[in-house]
Amino acid sequence: MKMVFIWFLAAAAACSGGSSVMKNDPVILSGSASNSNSSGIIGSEYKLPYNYNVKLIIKDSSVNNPNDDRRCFYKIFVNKVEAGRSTIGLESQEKHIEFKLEDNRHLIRVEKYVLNEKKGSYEKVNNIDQPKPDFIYFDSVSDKILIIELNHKSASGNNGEFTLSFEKK
Amino acid sequence: MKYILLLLIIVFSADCSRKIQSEIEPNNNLNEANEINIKSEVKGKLSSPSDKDYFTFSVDSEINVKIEVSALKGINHAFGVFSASGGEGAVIKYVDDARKSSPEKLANLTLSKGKYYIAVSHGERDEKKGDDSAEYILSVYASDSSVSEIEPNDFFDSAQKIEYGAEITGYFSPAFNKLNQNSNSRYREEDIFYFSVDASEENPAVIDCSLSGVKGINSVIEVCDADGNSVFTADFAGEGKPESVNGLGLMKSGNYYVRVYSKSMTENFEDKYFFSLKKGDFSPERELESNDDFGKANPLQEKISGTVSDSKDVDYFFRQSESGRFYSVSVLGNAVKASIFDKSYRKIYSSDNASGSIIFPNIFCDGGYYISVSSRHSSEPQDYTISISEYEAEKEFEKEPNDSIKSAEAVEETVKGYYSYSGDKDYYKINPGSREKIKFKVRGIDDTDMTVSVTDALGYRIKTVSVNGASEIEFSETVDVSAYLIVEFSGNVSDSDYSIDMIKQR
Repeated sequence: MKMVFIWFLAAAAACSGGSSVMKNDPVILSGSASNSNSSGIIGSEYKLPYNYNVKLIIKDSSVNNPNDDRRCFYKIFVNKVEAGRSTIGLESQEKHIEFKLEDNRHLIRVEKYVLNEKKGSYEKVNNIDQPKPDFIYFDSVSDKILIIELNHKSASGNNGEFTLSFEKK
Repeated sequence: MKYILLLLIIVFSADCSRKIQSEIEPNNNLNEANEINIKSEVKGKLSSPSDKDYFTFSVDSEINVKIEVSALKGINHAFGVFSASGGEGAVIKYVDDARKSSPEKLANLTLSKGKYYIAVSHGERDEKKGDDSAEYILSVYASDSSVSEIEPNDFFDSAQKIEYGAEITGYFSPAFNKLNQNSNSRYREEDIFYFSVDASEENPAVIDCSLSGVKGINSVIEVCDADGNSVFTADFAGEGKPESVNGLGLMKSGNYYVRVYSKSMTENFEDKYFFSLKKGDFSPERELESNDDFGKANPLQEKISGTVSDSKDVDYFFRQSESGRFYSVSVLGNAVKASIFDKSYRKIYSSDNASGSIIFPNIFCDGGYYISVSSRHSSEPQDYTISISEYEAEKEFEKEPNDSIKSAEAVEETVKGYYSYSGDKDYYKINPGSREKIKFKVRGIDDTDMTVSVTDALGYRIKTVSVNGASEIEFSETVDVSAYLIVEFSGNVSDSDYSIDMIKQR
């Protein structure tokens, strides 16, 4: 079973072009794999989906200078279709967006926008300043809420680090 | 050859025969004045700084005379005209252009039967110095009999009566009137006319004046009430151009005065001006000057026409409005600008549309609003017509002013608005109360391109879409509790509306 999980992570990482999938709870994640028997294992430990079953949380832990801490949001593309945008906040703050997706493998890509105060509008940041990688493949399930966390370290080479977990009660 | 020689002799002898008499000193006071005739010339000298030469002549019946004293090199001289009855203390006219080496001229002076004196002396401005070698020539002629101006007419108490429909001819001469000591018109040479008015606030007298252009003169027409307070000033055209007062509304009975003068105190000794006064019929559909500020705004119902004389002329109108009613105001004119103000004089709309038509389609002001019209050109008069229609306010329609975040109007499901004037922007506030994804359905305006922006809660644009013409587009955007919609335009101002529907998406 553990081997199957490791294979899944490797496959996901490979498919996502090098995204780092962090295993907060490997047992749970292995249970999220489509070929696992999840229903009897997780019991009532996890929150059931209502309006959404996938939640993307984005933050930037590398920004700690108020002068560099810009207002921003992320535009989200699910399976290459624009699906909405995250909440708006400082780069150092947590921003989130929720989706209700059917059971399947999905692709999420993010696009960062920051506020240009002089122009009074948000502008897409240059590709070189976008999170690297800016996408992840994942499997969603209908009976749990998948939490995808992206830590975009803009002050440290724009590394994007994705972490997957399920939302607990 | 013989004839040519004979002709030369005749001409030469004729010139030699034009002998100009010289003054006979002493002629330094009224009692010693040299007698001269009208239509005569006399030579004189200002031999010393205190030298003053007196001449006298008699008039048998009323006559207009032209008086000229030729230039004396390096000397600023002057002359005064007195009547024998008034003596030297009662100067009829004192002429001094305050310049050296230039002649002193008076184009027109009306004298009735009597004896008069002319005193030639040094002017007031420069150092008085005598010159025993240089001679001036004093000329007194009968002037053009067609001139109907009666000088002196320089003050209200000597103003000349003008009748409606009459035309008066006169001169912008002399350059200065040293007798004019009024603080706001010191030394200004003015011709003042008066006319009588029978009028009331309900039935104002409508007056038109016109003054022809005179070479080298930037003329001014100023109308004053019986107390001498300025009612209207026409100073629109430049040098050599005519001036006019059109549709001046006078609401009190009594005498009114018209001052005609050269703005820069220049003179024209040769060319006459023509001044006329006409009385028009009052119509509530024609502007009444002066309506140049909010306090003098003309009342307006459905339609009014007017003229702005130049870029300095601004016409104001006031329209009473009823609560809950919208008003559509159109201003038709080739080159005019227009603005709308609320009762607190706060500007709501402004447009300087060059296309000849300005439309403010949705004025919503409790109690009333002002309309101002001005010209886009500096000198040419521009005619315009204002038309107003009113209609029942629809709930969805925007209420101007909403051209900033501060004045953004809260909207819910649908909003309709207008591209009301050049530079118009419409701001709306959306308050779904929670984070919602909203579908926006936008219908544009014919011949107008517009953009619709959704902002964050602070008003920073998140998404902007373009709508070309009357096309319909849809887009979705997430609203975090609250946001603003900003609608901006380019193209032609229109009286067609746009609409935006907002549908929450689940």
